[in-house]
Amino acid sequence: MSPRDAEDRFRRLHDAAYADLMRFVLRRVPDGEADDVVSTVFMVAWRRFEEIPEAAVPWLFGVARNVMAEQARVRRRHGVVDVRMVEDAGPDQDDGAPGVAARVDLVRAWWTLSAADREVLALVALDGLTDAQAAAVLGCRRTAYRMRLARARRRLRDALAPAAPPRRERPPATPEAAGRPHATNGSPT
Amino acid sequence: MNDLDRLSTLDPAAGWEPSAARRARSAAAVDRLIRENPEPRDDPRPAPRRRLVIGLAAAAVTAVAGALVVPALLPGDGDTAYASWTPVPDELTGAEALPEARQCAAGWTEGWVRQPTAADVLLAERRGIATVLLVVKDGGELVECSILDPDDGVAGAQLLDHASPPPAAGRVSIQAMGAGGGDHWHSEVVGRVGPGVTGVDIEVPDGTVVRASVRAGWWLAWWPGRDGGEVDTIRVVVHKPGGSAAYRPSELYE
Repeated sequence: MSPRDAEDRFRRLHDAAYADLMRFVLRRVPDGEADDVVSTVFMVAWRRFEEIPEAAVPWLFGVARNVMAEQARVRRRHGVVDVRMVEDAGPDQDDGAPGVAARVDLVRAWWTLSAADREVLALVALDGLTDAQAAAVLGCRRTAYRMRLARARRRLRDALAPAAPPRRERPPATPEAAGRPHATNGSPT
Repeated sequence: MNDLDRLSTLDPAAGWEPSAARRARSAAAVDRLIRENPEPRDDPRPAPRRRLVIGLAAAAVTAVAGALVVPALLPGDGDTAYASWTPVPDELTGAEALPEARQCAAGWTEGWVRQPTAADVLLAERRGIATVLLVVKDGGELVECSILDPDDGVAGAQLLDHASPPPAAGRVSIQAMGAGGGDHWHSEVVGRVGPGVTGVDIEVPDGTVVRASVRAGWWLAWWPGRDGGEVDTIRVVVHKPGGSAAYRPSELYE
């Protein structure tokens, strides 16, 4: 491939992948940091141009994940590339609306999960990747990713399950059960 | 609507599209990148480099003896090494890793008499732009050598004890494990494999599974982060035909 062809192909890759890559990054870092991450990803991609596979987007996501993880480590934050979440419903919304309550429950359940579980779920639920693509981003076998996803989904469902209703004290069925004196042969005391 | 569909409604980037100005700024950055680096690196072997080395500052590496002495310094651009890292390595042949082997020999301060040949490279792997290899020195000793960024030369090296007895069948041992770096930390582990071991993975606390390279009775891996310098935070998963078993590193030290 001539240098000119490589340059053209790289620019086309940028044009095609930029929006998806930005969304992947914006799900994980504040807006003010996203441009820096994305520019680092394309710098790495240009250095390793000949290695970029046909399915370039998951490959770019994998590089972005490494960049964000490394930046988080440098800042002494948690090493997992966690996903931001939309804000909980604001106080001016109708707290009584079922949709709002369900959303609040979902967000609350989300944050009970481990960061690793959140990352596994985000790749398919938010980034829209197939399990094969998500496995490529994380660098694990597809079967391993599917197992991790199944466990994460189970833990999410458990977190969303309604709590068991509180046990109510029932009135005793019989005077004996109540410990009250009772008459034999049906005669009142 | 299943659980994944419900989660998708919470997407913080749902419907986000870049503005024309933002996209144009990114495209301009790509143009500048191409202009300042006219050709992509299509030869993964290291380009001619400065003898600037990243020292393993404050390392917890358990070196056996005679490590490559590197002055400390300026960490080169560690960004690309870590950004390009892959959990699954590419295996290199001795011939493919020969340039790196000779680079290690050239930097060995205690004298490396005979130039390494391809046959001296016992194991070599590449993750992104970084190469780690085990190479026989002067027909006798065994050296582990890391080149994280080709532009910065050898990042570190250590002598291994190749005379130690191999582990029992289905088991692995750890000869050296630790972490080092300045702004960018990385962890390394190297050891021996017993008969019947078909693979080794490292499970890192953040969920990443690092596949180790296994060859010629040895295994090794490296990954970004400092877990390798902490006690028993990772798990070593040993695969063999009958199944797999996970171990704490403290169970595997020679």
